This record gives sequence, C-alpha cells and structure tokens, in this order.
Amino acid sequence: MSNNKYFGYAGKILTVDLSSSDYVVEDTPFDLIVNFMGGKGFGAKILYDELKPGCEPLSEDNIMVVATGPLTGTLMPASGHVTLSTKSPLTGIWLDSHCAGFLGPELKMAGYDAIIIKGKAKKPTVLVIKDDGVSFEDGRDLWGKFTFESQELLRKKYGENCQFMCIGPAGERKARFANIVSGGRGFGRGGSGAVMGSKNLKAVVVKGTRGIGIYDLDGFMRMCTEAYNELTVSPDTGGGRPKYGTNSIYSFMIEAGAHPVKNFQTGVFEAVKECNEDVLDKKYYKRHIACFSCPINCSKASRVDDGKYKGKFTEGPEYENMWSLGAQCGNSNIGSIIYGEHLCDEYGLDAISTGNVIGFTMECFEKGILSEKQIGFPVKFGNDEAIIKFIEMMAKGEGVGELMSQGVRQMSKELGKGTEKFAMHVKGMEIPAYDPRGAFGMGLAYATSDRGACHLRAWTLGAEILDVRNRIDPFATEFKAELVKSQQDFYAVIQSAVVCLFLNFGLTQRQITRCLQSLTGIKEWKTTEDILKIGERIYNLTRLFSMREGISAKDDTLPQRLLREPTKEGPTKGVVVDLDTMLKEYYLIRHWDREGRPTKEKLTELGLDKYK
Amino acid sequence: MKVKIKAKFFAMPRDYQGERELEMEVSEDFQQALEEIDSRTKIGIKEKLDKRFVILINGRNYRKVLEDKGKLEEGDNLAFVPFLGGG
Repeated sequence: MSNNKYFGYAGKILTVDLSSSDYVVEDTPFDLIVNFMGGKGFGAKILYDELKPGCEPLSEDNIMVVATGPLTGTLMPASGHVTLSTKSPLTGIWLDSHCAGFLGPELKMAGYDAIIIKGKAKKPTVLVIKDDGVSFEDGRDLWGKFTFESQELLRKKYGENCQFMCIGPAGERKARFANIVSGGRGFGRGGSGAVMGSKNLKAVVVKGTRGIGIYDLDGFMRMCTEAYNELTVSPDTGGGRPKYGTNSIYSFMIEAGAHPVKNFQTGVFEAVKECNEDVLDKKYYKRHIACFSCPINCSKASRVDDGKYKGKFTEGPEYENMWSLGAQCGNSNIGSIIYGEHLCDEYGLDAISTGNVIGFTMECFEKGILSEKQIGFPVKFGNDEAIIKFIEMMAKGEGVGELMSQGVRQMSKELGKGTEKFAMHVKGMEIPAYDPRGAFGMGLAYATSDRGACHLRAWTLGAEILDVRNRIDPFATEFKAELVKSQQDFYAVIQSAVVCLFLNFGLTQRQITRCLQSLTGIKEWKTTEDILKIGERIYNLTRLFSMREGISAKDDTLPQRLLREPTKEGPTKGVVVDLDTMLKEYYLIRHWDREGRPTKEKLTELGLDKYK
Repeated sequence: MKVKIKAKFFAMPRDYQGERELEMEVSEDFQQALEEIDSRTKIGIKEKLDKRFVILINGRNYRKVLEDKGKLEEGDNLAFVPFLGGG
C-alpha cells in the first residue's frame, strides 16, 4: 500500500544530482499539489523557481522534471501518461513533453510524484529507481546503441517488468529535436533527448510495487466505470480511433484542406487515393496496442509485407508522422513512412520536426537555394529514399544533416535568401500536421502555444469543422480567442492530472472534475471553475517562464506563408490567416497587456503575486 | 431541379457504407437530397446525423454552408464524417 499523506499521490519527490551521484527524497508539498496539481503544473512551478534565468539548455545547469499526476496509474482509463518539463534546446523557452505507455504508472508505484534531475554525470550513466532504492550505474556499454536495443539490454539486466526512458544516438550527440523513448512511445517535441544527452544520462530504469490511496473508493470506481463506458460508445474513442488509430482523421483532414502538403505549399494531396487510413488498416496494421489502463487501443503495430521496405515495422505510424514523412514531403509510399518512423524511434528523433525539416530542405532544393552538390543527392518532393537518408544524416550529424538537426529556424537563419518566409515554425518549434488556413483557430493555437507551434495545447478543428451546435466558421476570427484560451487552460489540467488528452474526447470537464474530487478529496477542487483556474495559473506561469527567457508579443506569430501566401487550390483556395484580429482578442481575454505579459491583476487573481 | 454531387464516406460511415465515395444525382433542396441519399446508402442518416456523424459540404460544416447558400449546387462534395478528435 502507499505510504502517502494525500489521496491520489505517491507523496514524495526525488531530486537527483548527476554531478555528485547524490539524491534526496522529500515530501510533496501540499501547496504545490493544491495550486499546480502535478505533471506540467509541477514542472512549471519547480522550473520557474529553480532554473537560473538564461541558462544554456544543454549545460549542466538545466533541470529536467519528470512528473506524474493524481490520475496517473489509477484505474481511470488512459492514465498511463507522464510529463517531462525542461528548458528546450530547440526553442530556448518552456518545454513540457508527454509520454504515453507505462512509465508514468511505474514511477508512481515506485513512490514518486516527480523526479527532478540536475547536474551532469562524468560518464554515461543509467539511473535506476526501484521502490525506495536509487542507484547510479555505468551506462558506457549502452552509449551509441539504438533505443530498442538499449531497452532490451536494460530489460535483461534489471527485469522484465521495468519501465524505461532512454535516448538514442541523436540524443547522445545533442540533436536539437532529439526525443526520449519509452517502450515504443516517446517524449516528443522540443529536444528533451538532447537535454538528457547533455547530462550523460543514457537511460532511467523504473520499477515500483506500491499502491495509490483513494479518497472515495466507491465514488471513484463509479467515475472510472462511467469514463470507460463513455469512451467505448463515443464514435471517436470507441469507433474510429480503435480501428484506424490516430489516422482516423487522415482523409477527412485532406478533405477539409487542413492537411498541409509539400511544406504547406498546398492543401491538395492527390495521392490520398492510395495513401490513407483504409490502406493502413487493410494492408499494414497487424494488431492493436493499448497503453496502461486504456480501452481505446489507438496505437497499432504495423509491418510492410512487400516492396522495397518489406519487413520494416513500427509502432504506428501516427497521424502526425503519416503527415510529416508523407504529405509534408510529397511522399505517398507508406512503407517508407513506416520505416522512417521506426528509424526516428531507433535514433531518438522527433518525427514531426524531422519531416518538417525534410520538407523545408526539399523546397530549398527545388528553389535552387540548396544544390545537389551541397546535399549529395537530388531531393525533389516525393523522393522516399531521400527521406530515409536524411533521417540517418540528421541522427548522425553527417553533411547537411548536421544543420538540419538544428531545426528549421536555425537552418533558415544560416541559409538566408528569404527562406524564413517558408520555414514553418513558431518560436523555433516546427509546425505539426494541421494547416491553419483550413481552420483559423489552429493559427492562434500555434502562435500562442507555450512551447512553440503545437497541436496539443489547443486543438480547435473539432469545434471549427465538426461541431453542429456552435457552427463556428473555420475561416472567420470570431470566437477563436475564447476557444483557444479555454482549451489551453483545460489541456493544462489534463496534462497536470496526468492523463492522455484523448480522455478529453470522451469525457466532459465536469466529469473530469468529479474524477479528481472522488480520487483526492481535495476541498479546494470542488467545481470545474476551481480546476480550470489551476490550468489558467499553469498557462500563465509557463508564459512568464518564456518571457523571462526573452520572448514577447512579437514572437506570437506565424510564418509569412500562412499570413500572406494563399493556397492556389482546394477547399482553402485564396485563404490566409487573419492572426492579428484573433491575437488582440486573445490578449484581452487572457488579461495580457500589449506586450503579451500577464497583467498584475491577473497574476494576483491566480495567486501568482510573487511573479509580478 | 437535380444536381450531381459526390458523397464521400470517412471512418465509421465508410464502414457502414463499405465504399469510399459515390456519385449521385439528387435534388438541390438539401432536406430532399438527404432523404434520397439515405434511401440509396447504408449509413443511416435519419438516426445518426448530428449524433454519430456530421456532413461537410466542400470541407465546411453543412449547417454553416446552408446558412450561406441555402441549397446544393452541381459538383458539391458531401463528406460524411464522425465526430473525431485530434491525432
């Protein structure tokens, strides 16, 4: 059983100093729980208070906060997530990254709400956390190895039932968008793998056997049953998603003109006839994979049975990577997407950024900005073999791959020649698989996302395109500020609770509040408003964090391509995003001033007085 | 008056129908057209529209489009899409 003081929590925070191979275990402070909940919220509070402003993200001064939340590891469906917060080496600002699978529950069962990782090990190290025992072990034999082989060796050494977080060669050489891999899943976006590599930390091994205390067991079990039933009858989480995975939306996004093609030059992808979720389901998906306590089964094991990629496999491909290694590069060869995604996981590279950068490079080649001589081979859109070569070059830092692995912002800075107009990023984070010219809300979502362009801080397409009640026009600016702000605050709650965002597609805010209430009994969390206030507090604190690192209103923008370059065909023909109108409204609603800084009144209201 | 349209089926509506798209001639009046499409397909428009799936006309929510132009036009694409979240 748990030895915690608070229901729903493990009750302890482990702080590890890699420089001295020391650690301390402390009680999780109650005011941290009440005001910041867990996960992303814990990361925001701990990093703002403890990280030296202006610190170099790849220096030993950077800190990683790996945190669970109250719902993690419970019987609540989709509760297998864990968060990681740090300063991003890709963007230089706030980064929170979320990993599905089984690691989060294991960490909580080992007795920790969070681990704070500081310093830098003198040699490659494996951090082993088993219930109350913590040890620093030699990781030199694993250095240089792929993530799956590394995890296999760790499993043999430490036991079948351990969970891992592990970097590959890309993280070791500090590629700016390197991932951390856990099982077949990963902490994506922003380069947390490079931070881990800079600390000489090859892997973390976790094994726990404790439990979690529940405040109102009957009430919580009723909520878990309700959640399970809701998720399994929903046309999304009980229909399209279990069958097609995250690709359930693939063809529909192309139909709506919201799936960017060839580095956002068009929204029309003719190859959808042979490259779509139906083909994936019939030809490539071999079985379903579920995360901890999840009835959705959105992950798929895929394998290529014929053609030049015969025998290649992946856990996926996810919708995002079907785009990034597919339409973004004008590529419809699904075998190459499956192999490309697998390589990204093996090397530990973020596949969204990887594909975005490759699409940008292809456009530079077609425009004559990068030559065949500079690259080493021709790279026109649709060249699947070039995509595979680029992944290897980025992971190893070979040739033009070294520059590419620094991200599209840095690449366009070095290339010049007007490339910044079509370098598709916000604040240095490569834009993912939705074109805001097909739904304006995503433009505001990208421009104001706290970690740079991201679809997991607000995902407005459902409300803008599918919602039959509100009928929000995807090509208008009205109601977008309210929509984006409310989603950002609520997603911050989900990411602090810590559960999968897909729970949000089955449960209402009220139901999630009741889950938290019956689990923890925390009297300050009675209403949905109480819960959303926590989300708003977190979102304002991550904003303050990034402003302290140098961003201001001028960075809340989009690439020129989205603001001034209308597409020439398809459902979004002639459309550009009217960001300014939405942004002004957004600042007003957020009570941020013209510089995008939260007002003193807002900070007081959120209990953030000390950060004024 | 009759117009030629393309009905496209996504995710679960595609499973009900068993094919990706269908060209057909229907009335320009939307309600009339829906009844005609319902009788020629297996997706169950009467029971499931606005409950299990929604219709996009040329990529936009059908209610919004109908507010703007009132009726169907020659060459319209009608997409039958279930309520889905992000990927």
